[in-house]
Amino acid sequence: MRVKFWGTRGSIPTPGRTTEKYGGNTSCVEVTHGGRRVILDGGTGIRELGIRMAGEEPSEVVILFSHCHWDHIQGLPFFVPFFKKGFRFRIAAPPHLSRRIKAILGKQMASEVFPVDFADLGSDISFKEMPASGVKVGPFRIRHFALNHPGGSAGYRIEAGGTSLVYATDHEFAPQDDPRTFDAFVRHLKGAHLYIADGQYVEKEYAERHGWGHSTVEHVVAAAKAARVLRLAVTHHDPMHDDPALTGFEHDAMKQHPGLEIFFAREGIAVEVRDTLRP
Amino acid sequence: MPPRSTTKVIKPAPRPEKDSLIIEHICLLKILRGKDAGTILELGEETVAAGRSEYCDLFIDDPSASRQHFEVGGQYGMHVLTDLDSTNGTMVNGVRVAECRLSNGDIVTVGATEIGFFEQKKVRAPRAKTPPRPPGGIH
Ligand SMILES: [Zn+2]
Ligand SMILES: [Zn+2]
Repeated sequence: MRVKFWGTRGSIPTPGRTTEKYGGNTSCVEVTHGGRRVILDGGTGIRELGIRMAGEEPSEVVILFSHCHWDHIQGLPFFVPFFKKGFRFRIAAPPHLSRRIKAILGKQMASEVFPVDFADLGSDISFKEMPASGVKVGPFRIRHFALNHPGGSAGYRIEAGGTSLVYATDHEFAPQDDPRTFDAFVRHLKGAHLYIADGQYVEKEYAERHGWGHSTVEHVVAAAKAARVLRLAVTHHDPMHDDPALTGFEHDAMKQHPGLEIFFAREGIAVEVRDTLRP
Repeated sequence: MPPRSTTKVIKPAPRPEKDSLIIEHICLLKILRGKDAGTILELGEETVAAGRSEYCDLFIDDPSASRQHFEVGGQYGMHVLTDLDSTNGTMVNGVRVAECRLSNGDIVTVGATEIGFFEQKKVRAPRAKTPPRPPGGIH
Protein backbone atom coordinates (compact mmCIF):
# COMPACT_ATOMS: atom_id res chain seq x y z
CA MET A 1 0.00 0.00 0.00
CA ARG A 2 1.10 3.52 -0.67
CA VAL A 3 -0.11 6.30 1.61
CA LYS A 4 -0.07 9.94 0.63
CA PHE A 5 -0.92 12.83 2.93
CA TRP A 6 -2.87 15.61 1.18
CA GLY A 7 -3.97 17.39 4.34
CA THR A 8 -2.28 17.17 7.73
CA ARG A 9 -3.73 20.09 9.67
CA GLY A 10 -6.42 19.76 12.32
CA SER A 11 -9.35 22.07 13.03
CA ILE A 12 -8.88 24.79 10.40
CA PRO A 13 -6.66 25.43 7.37
CA THR A 14 -3.51 27.42 8.12
CA PRO A 15 -2.06 28.76 4.87
CA GLY A 16 1.09 30.86 4.89
CA ARG A 17 4.85 30.73 4.96
CA THR A 18 5.11 29.60 8.58
CA THR A 19 3.21 26.37 7.91
CA GLU A 20 4.37 25.46 4.42
CA LYS A 21 6.66 22.63 5.53
CA TYR A 22 4.02 20.54 7.32
CA GLY A 23 1.16 22.04 5.35
CA GLY A 24 -1.94 24.09 5.95
CA ASN A 25 -4.68 21.92 4.44
CA THR A 26 -6.98 19.91 6.70
CA SER A 27 -7.27 16.12 6.94
CA CYS A 28 -7.09 14.00 3.84
CA VAL A 29 -5.10 10.81 3.26
CA GLU A 30 -4.99 8.70 0.10
CA VAL A 31 -4.30 4.97 0.19
CA THR A 32 -3.55 3.14 -3.06
CA HIS A 33 -2.81 -0.48 -3.84
CA GLY A 34 -2.98 -2.46 -7.06
CA GLY A 35 -4.47 0.46 -8.96
CA ARG A 36 -7.32 0.92 -6.44
CA ARG A 37 -7.83 3.89 -4.15
CA VAL A 38 -9.30 4.62 -0.72
CA ILE A 39 -9.62 8.21 0.51
CA LEU A 40 -9.68 8.88 4.24
CA ASP A 41 -11.51 12.11 5.08
CA GLY A 42 -12.33 15.09 2.89
CA GLY A 43 -10.72 18.11 4.54
CA THR A 44 -9.35 20.86 2.31
CA GLY A 45 -6.45 18.61 1.31
CA ILE A 46 -8.83 16.66 -0.92
CA ARG A 47 -8.99 19.56 -3.36
CA GLU A 48 -5.46 18.97 -4.66
CA LEU A 49 -5.99 15.21 -4.77
CA GLY A 50 -9.09 15.93 -6.86
CA ILE A 51 -7.08 18.01 -9.31
CA ARG A 52 -4.69 15.06 -9.70
CA MET A 53 -7.54 12.57 -10.14
CA ALA A 54 -9.35 14.75 -12.68
CA GLY A 55 -6.44 14.18 -15.04
CA GLU A 56 -6.81 10.41 -14.79
CA GLU A 57 -9.34 7.95 -16.19
CA PRO A 58 -12.51 7.95 -14.02
CA SER A 59 -12.47 5.14 -11.49
CA GLU A 60 -14.33 3.67 -8.54
CA VAL A 61 -13.09 5.07 -5.24
CA VAL A 62 -13.97 4.34 -1.62
CA ILE A 63 -14.23 7.30 0.75
CA LEU A 64 -14.15 6.76 4.49
CA PHE A 65 -14.94 9.50 6.97
CA SER A 66 -13.73 9.55 10.55
CA HIS A 67 -16.54 11.99 11.36
CA CYS A 68 -18.11 15.11 9.96
CA HIS A 69 -16.38 17.99 11.71
CA TRP A 70 -15.45 20.76 9.27
CA ASP A 71 -11.80 19.79 9.02
CA HIS A 72 -12.78 16.37 7.67
CA ILE A 73 -15.40 17.33 5.07
CA GLN A 74 -14.78 20.92 4.05
CA GLY A 75 -12.81 20.20 0.90
CA LEU A 76 -15.56 18.12 -0.71
CA PRO A 77 -17.44 20.96 -2.48
CA PHE A 78 -14.16 21.66 -4.31
CA PHE A 79 -13.34 18.03 -5.10
CA VAL A 80 -13.43 18.08 -8.91
CA PRO A 81 -14.08 14.33 -9.49
CA PHE A 82 -17.40 14.70 -7.60
CA PHE A 83 -18.55 16.82 -10.53
CA LYS A 84 -17.30 14.47 -13.26
CA LYS A 85 -19.36 11.78 -14.94
CA GLY A 86 -17.75 8.38 -14.85
CA PHE A 87 -16.33 8.58 -11.33
CA ARG A 88 -18.05 6.29 -8.82
CA PHE A 89 -17.72 7.00 -5.13
CA ARG A 90 -18.62 4.46 -2.48
CA ILE A 91 -18.95 6.15 0.88
CA ALA A 92 -18.82 3.47 3.54
CA ALA A 93 -19.30 4.39 7.18
CA PRO A 94 -20.09 2.78 10.52
CA PRO A 95 -23.83 2.69 11.31
CA HIS A 96 -24.01 5.76 13.57
CA LEU A 97 -22.34 7.89 10.92
CA SER A 98 -23.83 6.24 7.87
CA ARG A 99 -27.34 7.36 8.79
CA ARG A 100 -26.38 11.04 9.02
CA ILE A 101 -23.55 11.52 6.60
CA LYS A 102 -25.56 12.11 3.42
CA ALA A 103 -27.63 14.81 5.09
CA ILE A 104 -24.55 16.50 6.54
CA LEU A 105 -22.70 16.57 3.23
CA GLY A 106 -25.87 17.87 1.60
CA LYS A 107 -26.17 20.69 4.15
CA GLN A 108 -22.59 21.71 3.43
CA MET A 109 -23.71 22.39 -0.14
CA ALA A 110 -27.11 23.96 0.61
CA SER A 111 -28.00 26.83 -1.74
CA GLU A 112 -27.48 29.40 1.03
CA VAL A 113 -23.80 28.50 1.27
CA PHE A 114 -22.81 26.85 -2.01
CA PRO A 115 -23.94 27.26 -5.62
CA VAL A 116 -24.15 23.57 -6.57
CA ASP A 117 -26.50 21.14 -4.86
CA PHE A 118 -25.06 17.83 -3.66
CA ALA A 119 -27.80 16.00 -5.58
CA ASP A 120 -26.69 17.63 -8.84
CA LEU A 121 -23.10 16.36 -8.77
CA GLY A 122 -22.15 14.58 -11.98
CA SER A 123 -20.47 11.53 -10.47
CA ASP A 124 -22.17 8.47 -9.07
CA ILE A 125 -22.09 8.70 -5.27
CA SER A 126 -23.53 6.00 -3.05
CA PHE A 127 -23.65 5.47 0.70
CA LYS A 128 -23.27 2.17 2.43
CA GLU A 129 -23.37 1.08 6.04
CA MET A 130 -20.24 -0.80 7.05
CA PRO A 131 -20.98 -3.77 9.30
CA ALA A 132 -18.98 -4.36 12.47
CA SER A 133 -17.21 -7.23 10.72
CA GLY A 134 -15.90 -4.80 8.10
CA VAL A 135 -15.94 -4.94 4.32
CA LYS A 136 -13.77 -6.19 1.50
CA VAL A 137 -13.41 -3.73 -1.36
CA GLY A 138 -11.10 -4.70 -4.19
CA PRO A 139 -7.76 -5.56 -2.59
CA PHE A 140 -8.65 -3.78 0.68
CA ARG A 141 -10.02 -5.37 3.84
CA ILE A 142 -11.45 -2.53 5.95
CA ARG A 143 -12.66 -2.59 9.53
CA HIS A 144 -13.86 0.29 11.72
CA PHE A 145 -13.80 0.95 15.43
CA ALA A 146 -15.09 3.71 17.70
CA LEU A 147 -12.88 6.55 18.88
CA ASN A 148 -13.36 8.95 21.75
CA HIS A 149 -14.23 12.39 20.37
CA PRO A 150 -17.06 14.89 20.92
CA GLY A 151 -19.90 13.61 18.72
CA GLY A 152 -17.98 10.41 17.97
CA SER A 153 -15.32 9.49 15.47
CA ALA A 154 -14.36 6.28 13.69
CA GLY A 155 -10.96 4.68 13.28
CA TYR A 156 -10.19 2.37 10.36
CA ARG A 157 -7.86 -0.55 9.97
CA ILE A 158 -7.01 -1.28 6.33
CA GLU A 159 -5.16 -4.34 5.12
CA ALA A 160 -3.92 -5.10 1.63
CA GLY A 161 -0.97 -6.81 0.00
CA GLY A 162 0.17 -8.30 3.31
CA THR A 163 0.49 -4.96 5.11
CA SER A 164 -1.80 -3.08 7.46
CA LEU A 165 -2.44 0.49 8.49
CA VAL A 166 -4.61 2.14 11.09
CA TYR A 167 -6.07 5.61 10.62
CA ALA A 168 -7.24 6.93 13.97
CA THR A 169 -8.10 10.60 14.22
CA ASP A 170 -9.73 12.42 16.04
CA HIS A 171 -9.25 10.60 19.33
CA GLU A 172 -8.60 11.35 22.97
CA PHE A 173 -7.15 8.69 25.24
CA ALA A 174 -9.62 9.35 28.01
CA PRO A 175 -10.68 8.90 30.64
CA GLN A 176 -7.03 8.63 31.56
CA ASP A 177 -7.72 6.54 34.64
CA ASP A 178 -9.63 3.87 32.73
CA PRO A 179 -7.21 1.32 31.28
CA ARG A 180 -10.03 -0.38 29.38
CA THR A 181 -10.31 2.42 26.81
CA PHE A 182 -6.56 2.32 26.20
CA ASP A 183 -6.50 -1.48 25.96
CA ALA A 184 -9.48 -1.56 23.61
CA PHE A 185 -7.76 0.91 21.34
CA VAL A 186 -4.49 -1.01 21.40
CA ARG A 187 -6.32 -4.18 20.33
CA HIS A 188 -7.40 -2.51 17.09
CA LEU A 189 -3.90 -1.19 16.56
CA LYS A 190 -2.07 -4.45 17.26
CA GLY A 191 0.83 -5.08 14.92
CA ALA A 192 -0.11 -2.41 12.37
CA HIS A 193 2.70 -1.56 9.97
CA LEU A 194 1.66 2.09 9.91
CA TYR A 195 -0.35 3.98 12.53
CA ILE A 196 -1.65 7.36 11.38
CA ALA A 197 -2.40 9.13 14.63
CA ASP A 198 -3.94 12.29 16.01
CA GLY A 199 -1.05 13.93 17.86
CA GLN A 200 -2.47 17.44 17.96
CA TYR A 201 -0.94 18.39 21.30
CA VAL A 202 2.22 17.88 23.30
CA GLU A 203 2.12 16.91 26.96
CA LYS A 204 2.68 20.41 28.39
CA GLU A 205 -0.37 21.79 26.54
CA TYR A 206 -2.71 18.97 27.43
CA ALA A 207 -3.60 20.11 30.96
CA GLU A 208 -5.74 22.85 29.44
CA ARG A 209 -7.20 20.74 26.65
CA HIS A 210 -8.82 17.85 28.47
CA GLY A 211 -12.04 16.80 26.81
CA TRP A 212 -11.30 18.48 23.48
CA GLY A 213 -11.12 15.09 21.81
CA HIS A 214 -7.48 14.94 20.75
CA SER A 215 -4.33 13.17 21.85
CA THR A 216 -0.81 14.19 22.65
CA VAL A 217 2.26 12.90 20.86
CA GLU A 218 3.15 11.12 24.11
CA HIS A 219 -0.24 9.32 24.18
CA VAL A 220 0.05 8.00 20.64
CA VAL A 221 3.66 6.92 21.15
CA ALA A 222 2.53 4.92 24.21
CA ALA A 223 -0.24 3.26 22.18
CA ALA A 224 2.12 2.56 19.28
CA LYS A 225 4.61 0.89 21.60
CA ALA A 226 1.94 -1.14 23.40
CA ALA A 227 0.55 -2.36 20.07
CA ARG A 228 4.03 -2.94 18.60
CA VAL A 229 3.34 -0.93 15.47
CA LEU A 230 6.21 -0.54 13.04
CA ARG A 231 5.83 3.10 12.06
CA LEU A 232 3.97 6.02 13.52
CA ALA A 233 2.83 8.99 11.46
CA VAL A 234 1.66 11.89 13.62
CA THR A 235 -0.91 14.12 11.94
CA HIS A 236 -3.88 16.47 12.65
CA HIS A 237 -1.38 19.18 13.57
CA ASP A 238 -2.66 21.97 15.80
CA PRO A 239 -3.29 25.24 13.92
CA MET A 240 -1.25 27.04 16.59
CA HIS A 241 1.84 24.95 15.81
CA ASP A 242 4.00 26.51 13.09
CA ASP A 243 6.83 24.76 11.23
CA PRO A 244 9.57 25.52 13.77
CA ALA A 245 7.37 24.20 16.61
CA LEU A 246 6.45 21.00 14.73
CA THR A 247 10.07 20.47 13.65
CA GLY A 248 11.07 20.68 17.31
CA PHE A 249 8.36 18.26 18.45
CA GLU A 250 9.29 15.83 15.68
CA HIS A 251 12.99 15.91 16.59
CA ASP A 252 12.16 15.42 20.27
CA ALA A 253 9.92 12.43 19.55
CA MET A 254 12.49 10.80 17.26
CA LYS A 255 15.25 11.33 19.82
CA GLN A 256 13.23 10.11 22.81
CA HIS A 257 11.94 6.97 21.10
CA PRO A 258 14.72 5.54 18.96
CA GLY A 259 13.10 2.09 18.86
CA LEU A 260 10.03 3.37 17.05
CA GLU A 261 10.04 4.86 13.57
CA ILE A 262 8.18 8.15 14.01
CA PHE A 263 7.53 10.96 11.60
CA PHE A 264 5.27 13.98 11.55
CA ALA A 265 3.16 13.88 8.40
CA ARG A 266 3.86 16.65 5.93
CA GLU A 267 1.52 17.71 3.18
CA GLY A 268 2.55 15.94 -0.03
CA ILE A 269 4.58 13.21 1.63
CA ALA A 270 4.01 9.67 0.37
CA VAL A 271 5.29 6.53 2.02
CA GLU A 272 5.12 2.88 1.12
CA VAL A 273 3.64 0.74 3.90
CA ARG A 274 6.23 -1.98 4.48
CA ASP A 275 6.29 -4.95 6.78
CA THR A 276 9.89 -4.35 7.77
CA LEU A 277 11.67 -1.45 9.37
CA ARG A 278 14.26 0.69 7.60
CA PRO A 279 15.99 -0.63 4.48
CA MET B 1 19.06 76.56 27.51
CA PRO B 2 19.55 72.86 26.90
CA PRO B 3 23.00 71.87 25.81
CA ARG B 4 23.34 71.47 22.13
CA SER B 5 23.28 67.90 21.03
CA THR B 6 26.57 66.55 19.88
CA THR B 7 24.92 63.74 17.93
CA LYS B 8 26.17 63.65 14.41
CA VAL B 9 23.80 62.89 11.66
CA ILE B 10 25.38 60.47 9.26
CA LYS B 11 23.79 60.47 5.90
CA PRO B 12 23.62 57.05 4.23
CA ALA B 13 25.70 56.58 1.16
CA PRO B 14 23.60 56.75 -1.95
CA ARG B 15 22.16 53.31 -2.60
CA PRO B 16 21.25 51.89 -5.95
CA GLU B 17 17.63 52.53 -6.83
CA LYS B 18 15.36 50.12 -5.06
CA ASP B 19 13.83 48.56 -8.09
CA SER B 20 17.16 48.12 -9.77
CA LEU B 21 17.90 45.00 -7.69
CA ILE B 22 16.12 41.71 -8.03
CA ILE B 23 15.78 39.15 -5.22
CA GLU B 24 15.75 35.62 -6.56
CA HIS B 25 14.91 32.45 -4.67
CA ILE B 26 17.41 29.79 -5.57
CA CYS B 27 16.86 26.19 -4.60
CA LEU B 28 19.73 23.77 -4.65
CA LEU B 29 20.85 20.29 -3.74
CA LYS B 30 24.25 20.06 -2.12
CA ILE B 31 26.15 16.87 -1.32
CA LEU B 32 27.06 17.26 2.34
CA ARG B 33 28.54 13.86 3.07
CA GLY B 34 29.98 11.16 0.83
CA LYS B 35 32.11 11.24 -2.26
CA ASP B 36 31.96 14.53 -4.12
CA ALA B 37 30.87 16.37 -0.98
CA GLY B 38 30.46 20.04 -1.79
CA THR B 39 28.90 19.40 -5.20
CA ILE B 40 25.97 21.73 -5.80
CA LEU B 41 23.10 21.36 -8.25
CA GLU B 42 20.95 24.42 -8.73
CA LEU B 43 17.32 23.53 -9.31
CA GLY B 44 15.33 25.21 -12.02
CA GLU B 45 12.02 24.43 -13.66
CA GLU B 46 13.12 21.15 -15.21
CA THR B 47 13.00 17.83 -13.44
CA VAL B 48 16.45 16.59 -12.48
CA ALA B 49 17.53 13.04 -11.70
CA ALA B 50 20.02 11.85 -9.11
CA GLY B 51 21.71 8.47 -8.99
CA ARG B 52 24.73 6.32 -9.75
CA SER B 53 24.38 6.73 -13.52
CA GLU B 54 26.69 9.26 -15.08
CA TYR B 55 23.73 10.50 -17.08
CA CYS B 56 22.09 11.80 -13.90
CA ASP B 57 22.12 15.55 -13.25
CA LEU B 58 23.39 14.80 -9.76
CA PHE B 59 25.86 11.92 -9.75
CA ILE B 60 25.79 9.96 -6.48
CA ASP B 61 28.96 7.92 -6.20
CA ASP B 62 27.66 5.47 -3.61
CA PRO B 63 27.34 1.69 -3.98
CA SER B 64 23.89 1.81 -2.28
CA ALA B 65 22.53 4.22 -4.85
CA SER B 66 20.47 2.95 -7.77
CA ARG B 67 21.39 4.14 -11.24
CA GLN B 68 18.30 6.35 -11.29
CA HIS B 69 17.63 6.87 -7.60
CA PHE B 70 15.34 9.85 -7.22
CA GLU B 71 14.19 12.86 -9.14
CA VAL B 72 13.23 16.39 -8.15
CA GLY B 73 10.71 18.34 -10.17
CA GLY B 74 8.66 21.48 -9.73
CA GLN B 75 5.02 21.32 -8.72
CA TYR B 76 2.80 24.18 -7.50
CA GLY B 77 5.92 26.30 -7.06
CA MET B 78 7.52 23.70 -4.80
CA HIS B 79 10.21 21.12 -5.40
CA VAL B 80 8.94 17.58 -5.13
CA LEU B 81 11.27 14.63 -4.64
CA THR B 82 10.13 11.29 -6.03
CA ASP B 83 11.93 8.03 -5.32
CA LEU B 84 12.44 6.17 -8.61
CA ASP B 85 11.72 2.74 -7.11
CA SER B 86 15.28 2.64 -5.87
CA THR B 87 16.52 -0.60 -4.35
CA ASN B 88 17.63 0.87 -1.03
CA GLY B 89 15.22 3.76 -0.71
CA THR B 90 15.41 7.52 -0.31
CA MET B 91 15.18 9.00 3.16
CA VAL B 92 14.12 12.57 3.89
CA ASN B 93 15.07 13.60 7.44
CA GLY B 94 15.29 9.95 8.37
CA VAL B 95 11.94 8.89 6.88
CA ARG B 96 11.86 6.58 3.89
CA VAL B 97 9.62 8.31 1.37
CA ALA B 98 8.08 7.53 -1.97
CA GLU B 99 7.45 11.24 -2.52
CA CYS B 100 8.04 14.43 -0.54
CA ARG B 101 7.76 18.17 -1.07
CA LEU B 102 11.13 19.54 -0.10
CA SER B 103 11.55 22.24 2.49
CA ASN B 104 14.61 24.37 3.31
CA GLY B 105 17.13 22.37 5.33
CA ASP B 106 15.78 18.90 4.50
CA ILE B 107 18.42 16.18 4.46
CA VAL B 108 18.06 13.55 1.75
CA THR B 109 19.96 10.34 2.48
CA VAL B 110 20.95 7.76 -0.11
CA GLY B 111 23.10 5.02 1.39
CA ALA B 112 25.96 6.81 3.12
CA THR B 113 25.51 9.96 1.08
CA GLU B 114 23.75 12.99 2.56
CA ILE B 115 22.35 15.67 0.34
CA GLY B 116 20.91 18.92 1.66
CA PHE B 117 18.06 20.86 0.07
CA PHE B 118 18.47 24.59 0.53
CA GLU B 119 16.46 27.61 -0.43
CA GLN B 120 18.54 30.75 -0.71
CA LYS B 121 17.92 34.35 -1.54
CA LYS B 122 20.18 35.81 -4.15
CA VAL B 123 20.25 39.51 -4.94
CA ARG B 124 21.24 40.43 -8.44
CA ALA B 125 21.16 43.36 -10.78
CA PRO B 126 18.53 43.20 -13.47
CA ARG B 127 19.38 42.09 -16.93
CA ALA B 128 19.76 44.97 -19.36
CA LYS B 129 16.35 46.19 -20.39
CA THR B 130 15.50 46.27 -24.03
CA PRO B 131 15.55 49.91 -25.03
CA PRO B 132 12.12 51.44 -25.48
CA ARG B 133 10.91 51.23 -29.00
CA PRO B 134 10.14 54.43 -30.81
CA PRO B 135 6.41 55.02 -30.85
CA GLY B 136 4.95 53.40 -33.91
CA GLY B 137 1.53 53.42 -35.42
CA ILE B 138 -0.25 56.71 -35.61
CA HIS B 139 1.92 59.77 -36.14
ZN1 LIG C 1 -10.38 17.00 13.23
ZN1 LIG D 1 -13.22 16.40 15.20
